[in-house]
Amino acid sequence: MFAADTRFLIVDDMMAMRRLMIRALKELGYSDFLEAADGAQAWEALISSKISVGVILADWIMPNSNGLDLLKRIRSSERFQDLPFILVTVESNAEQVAKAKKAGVTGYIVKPFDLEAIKANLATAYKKAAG
Amino acid sequence: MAYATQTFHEKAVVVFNLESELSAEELSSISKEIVSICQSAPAIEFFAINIASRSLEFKMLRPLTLLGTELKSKKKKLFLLAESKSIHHMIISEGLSGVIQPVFSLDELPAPTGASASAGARKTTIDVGFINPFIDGVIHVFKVQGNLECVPGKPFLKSAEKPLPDTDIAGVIGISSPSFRGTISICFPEKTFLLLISSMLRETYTEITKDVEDGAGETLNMIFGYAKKILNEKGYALDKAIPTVVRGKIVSLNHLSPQGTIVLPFTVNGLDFYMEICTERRI
Repeated sequence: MFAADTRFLIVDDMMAMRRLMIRALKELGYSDFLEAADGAQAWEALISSKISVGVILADWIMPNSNGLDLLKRIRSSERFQDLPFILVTVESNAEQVAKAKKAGVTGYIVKPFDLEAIKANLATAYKKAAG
Repeated sequence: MAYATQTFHEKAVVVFNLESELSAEELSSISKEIVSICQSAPAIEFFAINIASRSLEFKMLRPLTLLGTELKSKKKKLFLLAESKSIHHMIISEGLSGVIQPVFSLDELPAPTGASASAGARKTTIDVGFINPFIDGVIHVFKVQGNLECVPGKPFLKSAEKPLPDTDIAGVIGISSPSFRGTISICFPEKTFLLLISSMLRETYTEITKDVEDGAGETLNMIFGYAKKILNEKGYALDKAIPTVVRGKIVSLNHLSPQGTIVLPFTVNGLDFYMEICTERRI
């Protein structure tokens, strides 16, 4: 599992949903969070963060720059291309999941979610990151 | 042509069970039977053609549409019982579901609403096949995200005679598909919303603050996502949507549609809230 001091970047246009994800991550023992309301803000937060972001949890559908755009930008960046990226979204049909996988998503959580869904996705993401 | 009369929601439905693929000759024979039944039993409103797991040729849509349109003009309704999702999708995407309603089973037939029952009022029915995924979505989202048990009430058509609980906060989503558009909303009195948000975030909120108010939109977004998956498997082709939040001491949401607005009432821990669904066909 990711170390307790891992920095998470939480990206969702809904502040209540960011609170919800942070609450779940706190229950799993994490305490270092950055927040962004869309893909563009998330990119700014990522490149300006002095402490490296360890995992991104991002919504898919957001105004301005959405989660999939952010994922593609990250995967095409030399600096962040291996960063674990988990989509947290209401989009659950097979076509959408396939599109996210093709873009290089690490994990996929369908809203509404419980703690186990976050835990399982983080465990899988950690295994992938550990190689 | 053999047919059987069955009763659903206290309404008689004449069901034509096909033994082979629907052909022009067979449909012509069914049409003649329906004309005869309409004369001998004018109270029967619902007719269904059961093609079960068989395919349906695209060219049959035109004669089916003519039959459905004729029945609609007589204030009757034609259903197509079909197991194939692609047939449902074909009818819906062609914008024909207003005259030929595809259903997977007769249980999906609309129940009489009892609302707007005054003499001369235009009769509107509630499509349970469309609203049930939303009811299930509310129950699922409240359970998974808030560990709350929701109890659905009986859906009804919005009218001045049926007052709704005061609303302090509402989430609204515009919905869109190739054949219809509309809005759905979830409306909470303050106490109900605070219960939901406190349960979701596991901390007590005594007022609706800025950082939780969009929880109304996100809750609706999750309910819509749940329902959309089920409805799109039936061929509705609903698009993605972004929710908005409306605040106010008494929020009155006006959904403009000749087909009326359906209210889905719920209680959670003894507190009320409701959803509204309003759709209209694209011209």
